[in-house]
Amino acid sequence: MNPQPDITITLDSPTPVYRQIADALRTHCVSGALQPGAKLPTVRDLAASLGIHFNTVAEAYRVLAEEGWLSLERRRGATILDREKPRAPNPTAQANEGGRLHHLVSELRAKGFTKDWIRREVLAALETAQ
Amino acid sequence: MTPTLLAFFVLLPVALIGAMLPFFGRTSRGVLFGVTVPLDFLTSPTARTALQRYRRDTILLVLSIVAATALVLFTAHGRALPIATGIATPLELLGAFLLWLRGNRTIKPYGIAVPLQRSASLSSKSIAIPMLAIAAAFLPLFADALWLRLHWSSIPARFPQHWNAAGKVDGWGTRSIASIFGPLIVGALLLLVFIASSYFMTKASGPQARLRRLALAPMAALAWLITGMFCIIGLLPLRQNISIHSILTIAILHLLATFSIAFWLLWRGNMRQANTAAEPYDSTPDAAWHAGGLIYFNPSDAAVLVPKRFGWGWTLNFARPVAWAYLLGILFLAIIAKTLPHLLK
Repeated sequence: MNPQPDITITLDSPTPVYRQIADALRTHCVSGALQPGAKLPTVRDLAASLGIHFNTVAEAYRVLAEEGWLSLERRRGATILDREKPRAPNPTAQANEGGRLHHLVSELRAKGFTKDWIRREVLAALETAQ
Repeated sequence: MTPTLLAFFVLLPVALIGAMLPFFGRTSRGVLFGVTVPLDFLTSPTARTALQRYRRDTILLVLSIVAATALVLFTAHGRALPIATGIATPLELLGAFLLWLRGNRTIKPYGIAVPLQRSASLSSKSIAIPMLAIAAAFLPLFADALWLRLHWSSIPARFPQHWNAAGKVDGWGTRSIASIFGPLIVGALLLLVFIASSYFMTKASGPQARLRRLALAPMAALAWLITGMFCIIGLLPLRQNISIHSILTIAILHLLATFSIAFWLLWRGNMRQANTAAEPYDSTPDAAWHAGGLIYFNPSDAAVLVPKRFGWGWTLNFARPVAWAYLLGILFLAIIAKTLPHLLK
């Protein structure tokens, strides 16, 4: 069995910490580093290890549970779910997410990131995602 | 006890604590004199000079205090014992702290705000706490108490309980519940403090999340040290003819055995530790440290224990109510231990 991956957060990042945890866990789920059935640390354990408030971890777990990645059960903790393949997104969702991607690319360009760098990173992200 | 032997017992802890002080300049990765600095700054001439100056002055300070203590002990004999033991170590610590603060002032302009990154494993396995090993340390105390109860009639009405610096008996115990079971109850209370400390060590964050695994095994060894010591003291009433030298020999052998086990466990843990990646930086922000790096107060840190900035080991995060509960608990146990003999009389 693969060892459970690590998670790294940046406390003074503009991205809220709960969002960083949710993003990192989702990335691990998509890449297969966290397999369905894998158990996550309890909210209290992860919060203590990261030195953050319990509610922050609880919020991240809640976000992922709403997205269908996690099953949250009292006492049994959080378990990665065998998530059903999402249906093909409808045109509205495609337009929304496409817009978000465009905004992100524009923002990165405005910050001085080169087109090559963005292309490389997007391709790498696609490679990681199963 | 001869003055030389006495001086040895007083000077040994003073020298041992003093030997650690020169290493307090750099305690965490990327932290110099309590200031977070760039990693390459640690090899710069400024950093090296500040560290060398701190080490040199601390060594001189410790040597002077050890020499002065030895002089006082040899010239004033037993009378100076309470003064020498009570002053030497606090003086060492205070002196080293002031030298450390000087280093802190020198390095402060080079401090940087690093991204406060923290890593944690997503393993659901809780850290194995040798709680059973620590809790089992209660058993010898119970066995001791049972043995004393079964041999109650063999206990003399009056027995030596305390010896002065010259090795002469200066305190007598009587065959009463307070005298016989008091030491065992105090030992059990101390064990309770140990169990609480071990529990909080699992609630530490950042780099110490890995270090705590390392420190819990020696904690179990130290719990057995407490038990052993109090078992020896507890059985004294049954061995009235035993000399103070025999008691000290048993105590020192026991101490050496426990410390050997503790160091072996630490060394073994260290080997495993070497395989794990290091945290990028100390996980506590400089701004949350107060009183020159002695007190940590960070309401947004869930950790109860954090690595010290001055010295080795951990300190409490005073923004957590449970830290105050822990301190009050220790105070409460200390009061109980002190008043118990009077209550049982």
